[in-house]
Order: sequence, then C-alpha cells, then structure tokens
Amino acid sequence: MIGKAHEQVSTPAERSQARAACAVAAAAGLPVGVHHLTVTADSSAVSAASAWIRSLGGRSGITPDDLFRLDLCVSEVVMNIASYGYAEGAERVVDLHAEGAADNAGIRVEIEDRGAPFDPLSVPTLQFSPPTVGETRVGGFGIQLIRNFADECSYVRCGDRNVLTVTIRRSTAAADGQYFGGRTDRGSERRRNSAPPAFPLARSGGQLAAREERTLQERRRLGFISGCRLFRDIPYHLLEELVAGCPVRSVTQEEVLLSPGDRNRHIVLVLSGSMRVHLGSVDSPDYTEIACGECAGEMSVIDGKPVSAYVVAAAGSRLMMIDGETFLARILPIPGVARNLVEALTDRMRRTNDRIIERFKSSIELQALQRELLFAREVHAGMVPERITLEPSRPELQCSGYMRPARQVGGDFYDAFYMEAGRLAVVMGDVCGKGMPAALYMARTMTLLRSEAMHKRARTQRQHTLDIAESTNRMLCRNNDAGYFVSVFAGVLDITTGLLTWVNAGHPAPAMARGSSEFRFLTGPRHLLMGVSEEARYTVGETALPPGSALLLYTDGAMEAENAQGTMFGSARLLGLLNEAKNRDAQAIIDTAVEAVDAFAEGRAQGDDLTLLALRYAGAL
Amino acid sequence: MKMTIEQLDDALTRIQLDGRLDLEGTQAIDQRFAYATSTQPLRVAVDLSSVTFVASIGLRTLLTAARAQATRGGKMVLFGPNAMVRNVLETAGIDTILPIFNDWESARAGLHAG
Repeated sequence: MIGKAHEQVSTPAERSQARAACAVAAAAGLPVGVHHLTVTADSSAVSAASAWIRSLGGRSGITPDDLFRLDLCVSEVVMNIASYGYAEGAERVVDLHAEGAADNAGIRVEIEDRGAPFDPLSVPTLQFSPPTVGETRVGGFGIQLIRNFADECSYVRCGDRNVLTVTIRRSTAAADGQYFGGRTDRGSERRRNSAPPAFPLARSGGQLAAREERTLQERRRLGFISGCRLFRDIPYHLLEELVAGCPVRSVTQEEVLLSPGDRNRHIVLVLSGSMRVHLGSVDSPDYTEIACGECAGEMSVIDGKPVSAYVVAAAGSRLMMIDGETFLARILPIPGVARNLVEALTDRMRRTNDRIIERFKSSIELQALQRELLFAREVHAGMVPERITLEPSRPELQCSGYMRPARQVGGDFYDAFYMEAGRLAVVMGDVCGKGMPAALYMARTMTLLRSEAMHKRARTQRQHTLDIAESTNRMLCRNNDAGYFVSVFAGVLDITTGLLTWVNAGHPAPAMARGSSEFRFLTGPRHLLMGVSEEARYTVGETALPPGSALLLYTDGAMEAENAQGTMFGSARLLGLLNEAKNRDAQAIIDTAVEAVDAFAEGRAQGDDLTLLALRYAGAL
Repeated sequence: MKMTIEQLDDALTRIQLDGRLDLEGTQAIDQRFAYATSTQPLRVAVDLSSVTFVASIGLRTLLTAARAQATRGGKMVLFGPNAMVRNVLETAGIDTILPIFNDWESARAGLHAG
C-alpha cells in the first residue's frame, strides 16, 4: 500500500502563485497548500485515504466531530469507488485533493476517479423502517451517510473523470475557537505571524536591494529554501546573501555524486527531484531516499571524515551545492539552524534504527515460522499412519493409504480401524487452513472421530454412523473461536453383510466400483463442513457392496493437481484411470493413481496434500 | 480493532469492540464476530463505548449479526456509543431495528425484558 499511495503538497512555484488561496486554507484550518493524494482503488485505498484525511485534519485543528464527518464521507466515497468504480483490469486510480473551502469556514475534498460515468448522489434514498430486524436488507448505507454527514456534496462529470466534492463546514462550537491550537504546521504559522523581512537588504557585493529588485528566480529560490527542513523558521534576510551565491546543478542523467572514501566539501540540498543513499554497493536495492527539501553530505562536512556511502542523484534533479566552509562558519551559527540540523540527523538515525529493528524482527519471524512448519509436519506425520495395518488382518478386506504433504503442511488425514468384530470405520478429512493451527485441528478431529467411534456403540450400524458424525461435529464446534473447518467422510462397513453406511460433511464424493461395474462417484446426502455449526444435522447414506467392490477416498488435492498449463487433473481423468486398475488390489489402485497424478503434474510442485485411501472388499468368506 | 467476548452468569453474552469500525477494523473482526453472534441463539449486548469510528461496512456487520439472532430466536442490543457513532447508527436507521442503550445496566435490563 505504501508503494502505491503518494502524498504531495504543491510545488513552491505553484505555492507562491497560489499564496492567496493558501491564506484561505490556513484560515480554514488546513496546513497551507492544496493537498493531494493518489491511491490505487483497491481494498487498501480506504485505509490510505482515511489515514491521510485524519493526518491533515489532525494538523488543522478542526474539531474531532468535524473530522469524524470528513473521515466518514471520504471513506464511504473511496470505498464505493474501490468496490464498484472500475471494471476488471482497468487502471484503478483515485485522486484526492483537499483544501480550505472558499468561504473560509471549512474543508473541501474532491475525490476523482476515471471509471464509467456514475453519479452516486442519483441513487434514491433508502427507507429504513422495516417491521422486524429479520427482514432488513443489509447494506446500501454508504450514500445515505455521505448525504447526511457532508454539509455539501456535489457530483460533476469532468472529461473522463467522476468528481465528487464533499464539504465539511466547521461546527459552530469551534467557530470562535483557536484554529491553530494544538499541533500546527510551523511553516504556515511563521508565514502568518512573523513580520515581513526588513528592506532594504544587503546583497552580496555590498549593495542594498529593495524587494522589487529581486528577480522572480531569486524569490522562488528563497521561498523554497526557507521551506527546507534545514532552514525552517529562519528569517529570509539571514539566508539571502549566503545562499544567493551557491551554485545550482542540474542533473541530466543519473549521477553518482559521492562514493565511500571521497572527501566531501559540500552540503547538497535537493531543490527538485531526489537523491538516494546506498550503503554497500551503488546499485543495492536497499537505500534511503533524500527527498525534495532534504540534504546530504552534512555528516562528512561536520566531522571532516571521508564519505561513508554512495549518494546518487536521480535524473532531472536540481541540487544546490552549499560550500562546507561557508556552512560551518556562517550558516551553522544562525540561530535555529543547529537545532534543525540536529533534528534532521536524529530523524535519520531513528529511521535507520527502525529499519534495523524491522529487519531483525522479520528474520526472527521467519525463523519462528519455519520452526512452526517443522513442528506441524511432525504433528501431521505422527498422527496419520504411513500405511494402514488393519488388526486383525482379514482376508475379506484390503485397505491401503497414501499421503504426501505439500510444502506448506496442510491438514489432510485418513484412518481405518475395527471398532468391534466385523465393523470397520474408514474416515478421511481435510482441514481448511495451513500450518500449526490446521495440524492441531486435524489432530483434534482424528482423535474425536476415533474416540466417538469406539465409545458410542449404538445398536444399529446406521445410528452408530450418525452418532460418530454428529458428536464429532458438536465437539469440533466448541472452543473453535479461530473458526477452523474440516471436511469429513466417515464410513462404517460391516464386513459380513457388505453394507456401507456413511456421512459426507463437505468432502469430495468417493469413487466406488460396486461388484463388477465401473467406478462411479458415490451419490447421496451431502452436508456442511464440520466445525461450522453445532446444530448441523446429518443424513446417513447407505450403499450395499457386493463382493469384488472397490472404494477410493481422496481429498481435493488429487483432483486439483495442476500441470504446467494450469489444467486440473479433474474427475473424468480420475475415473478413467481407476477403471483401468479396477481389478487390481488396493495397493495397486493407489500406486496407479499416484503415478497418474505425478505424470500429469510433470514435476510441478503442488500446493495441496495428495491423500488417498483404497478399500477392496472380497465379500464374506 | 479489538474484540472481547464475555459469557456472563445470567446467560448473557457481552461483546466489547474497541477501535475503528472502518473497512480495516471490520475486516479484522468480521469472521470472529459473525461466528460468535450467528451460530447459536444468544442474548447478546455489543459494547460500543470504545468504538471511535464507524462506517457503512461496520453497520453491515452489526446488522448481519442482528438478523442472524432474529432468525434464530436470540436477541441483540447495542450500548454505549459515543455521540458521533450514535449519530451514524441513527442516520442509517439502525436504532429502529436494534435497541441502542446508553450503558451496560440498561442494556442488560433490556435484554432480560425481551
């Protein structure tokens, strides 16, 4: 977001021309100038615009209530543009301009977008008197709020732009208040309060100059210089003579001004454009920018030591070179300059510290994340058996499982076990989410399924299946503030009758070949994922398995495996390969499926786990 | 944006919201808030006394929760909004469908009465 939004105040030339307008803005409460912000119209735009408005408002001294209204209106307009203003793929831009309202008593913000023509104010007002809360339509409040909280709002289509103007007048409570109470912009305060510099002034060469004799160029340069951080609050007449003779360099193409080891004799002040300070190498991506109005070189001028970094001027920049001797002997002693310099150096030091801390933090976070993933992998591997060994082993049934976790540990699992003689539980699931929390939720789900299966033994197989699903879901919903969900297929097979009873909670339908027929996807009742609602009720599906039947459970990682062209493996391909391997044993079915998925993906790393479980039922013996 | 849920002895739930209920703040709590207010019938009071700003997206979240409670036979009330927040709630007509109380005592009484 930071990279996309940029704030600017008008250039000094514009500022001097618009001085009258600035006076209006100052009186209305905004720091001097028309303020601009450009943001990309996406979900971060609202926060960026709101932060900008609050920062301007905070400096302007308008009342908190007026600022609330302004913030609300601007947020709603920008949200509207971000949500509806642009077609898919269009360049999404929102421009905001804030200034004091023309009649001196408020703030006006213009919000522009280049989307299709749309006047939000033409939307009819909604009626809010529904009989009960259950029937209320949710939403559509934004325009209503703008209409009610702005003192004025208007829309105009201007060229290819929609321009919505919102004006907030200061409330009467603040009308007589101190407009520049609290935090104020020192530059604007000085312009308002300090007496104009005394004339005539001494020019370099000993002549006296009246104000009118200064060229426009000189006046602009002076006006700008006094706005620089280093010369803030320093009266013009103290600086005029000293900076009048300083050369100004125009940088036509990017230029390295200083390199480590150089002896530096100048303080370089950026009049327009910018410079970059690189530590290490001249093209390292990690650098500090020196913006318009800031300077470089002061450290080496002060301590006389060789330069410690590369200073690179951007193409098109204009730089004023202040001679180091002059700076030390004549500029530094001017009251205020030393304080400004210390402030600037402190600020730079703080910024450097922040960056170091930031870098340190992210490296620690990365380590913690990697450690967490390792733990999660261990939890995962510890919970899910690598191969399924049914105890006791019976000739009626073969069961094989396969799981390959993706790089970012997922939450897939499977399990198969006898609950009592001849009654087999077979389950598979997939927790929505990654990392440690998902692995823990997976462990919780598996443990619950096992314990519910072993301890809730209803008389009928059907009721037993239902009890396992419903009580597992109920337990999963409790203490689930983080909102984890899990898809579960839970089946119970009676190996003497061949009856399979099952509940499918949001899991992909298993593939089944009944007797000698082809593989098909199991049809029947489907339900919501587990962990969402304690009230979820399930219907049990029943499928009779004739001898020779086979069943394959899988998670969506199998279906969604992608090849280099971005094509998914898909269900047709899965059924096709299963039918080819139809008469083979359970392990062979798994091997065929894994080989087919790998061949399809052509070595492309997959984002999801690949998890399979195959059952082959030979019939009661 | 912070959100704290308290289960109280008299079968009431108190949810305290703290911060700006703007796009960012609402997104930060939306899922947890919906989960806490929509999955089962409750008598729930939402404490807005530490909410400093509310935009339409925040109203939507409050209203969605209220609607979920209404269809499940629960009840939701709001309490303690500052003057500007109350102003926004009233402008959008929320007060016609969701009771807004000044403080916790009256909100609790309101929930017990309903």
